[in-house]
Amino acid sequence: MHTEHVILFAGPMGAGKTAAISALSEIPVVSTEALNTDLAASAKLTTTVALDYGQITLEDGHVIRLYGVPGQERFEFVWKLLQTRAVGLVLLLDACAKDPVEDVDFFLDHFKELLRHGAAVVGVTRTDLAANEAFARCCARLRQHHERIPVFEVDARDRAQMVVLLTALITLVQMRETELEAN
Amino acid sequence: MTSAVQTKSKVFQALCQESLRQLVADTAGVENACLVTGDGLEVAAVLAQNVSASRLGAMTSSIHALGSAITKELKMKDCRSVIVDGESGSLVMVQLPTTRVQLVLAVTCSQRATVGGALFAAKQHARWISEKLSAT
Repeated sequence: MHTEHVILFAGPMGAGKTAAISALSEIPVVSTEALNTDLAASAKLTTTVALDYGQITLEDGHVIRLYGVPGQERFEFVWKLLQTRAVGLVLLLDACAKDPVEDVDFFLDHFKELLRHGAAVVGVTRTDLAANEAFARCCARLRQHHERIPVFEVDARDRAQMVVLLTALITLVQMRETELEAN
Repeated sequence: MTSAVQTKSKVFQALCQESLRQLVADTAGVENACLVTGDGLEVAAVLAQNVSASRLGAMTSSIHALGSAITKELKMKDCRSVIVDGESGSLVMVQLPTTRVQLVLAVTCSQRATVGGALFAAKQHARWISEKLSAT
């Protein structure tokens, strides 16, 4: 029997979570978009307020349930609700954000429960638009946090890139499951 | 028409606050009322001391958005209201009609009130606020 995995897509507002799930999903995405009225936080028109839901079947038959969570801290209760069910985390970071390194600390801290029993990968988006060394700084910071979190430069709208990232995550999840079984 | 800027205007917020105050004062068993934007930011609130407007606001927008996702999935058009029926109280969430920026009114009530009564009162005030908005 093929197994099913719940994977969360988290990260700050505008990092590309909804775009990534839209690119990956083989079913019509369930979305909960509302008009963004907090224009000081982001200029984007809409924002996810509950979750995005999509689904993808990998080549080996694994069904992956993809949940995107809102980026704003006021929706932290959604993060808590979903991370108990998830086995993996895709953390998307926006290289053009005010301080992507601070975002690394913030989100790894909020998803530490998931990191304890699951695995994570990081995708840094919009690196082509960032004039600073955002990607290198994120990598350095992640090395300080956890030695087994791979980091990718990605375009969240690009299905092939997101499949690579997701496949890496599933491999890590399976390794983690083997580890936990052995203990 | 309502815009994101309008929801942040002091005049608009004062008008909403007064409407919520009346809703809580005039409806037996209604304990809290909170008006939030579709993305979960508080516009006005009349709350008991131990209730956080920011948390209730964010949860209201999430639950209402899930209701909208389900009605859309089932081809029922927009979600007008959501009812959460707890063992010792209930919560009704009503979307305001005819506003460009989505607004949701959340009202909680104790067992002293009927869910139908709270829903009726919430809808009345939602309509009243919408009418005032259209006129400004």
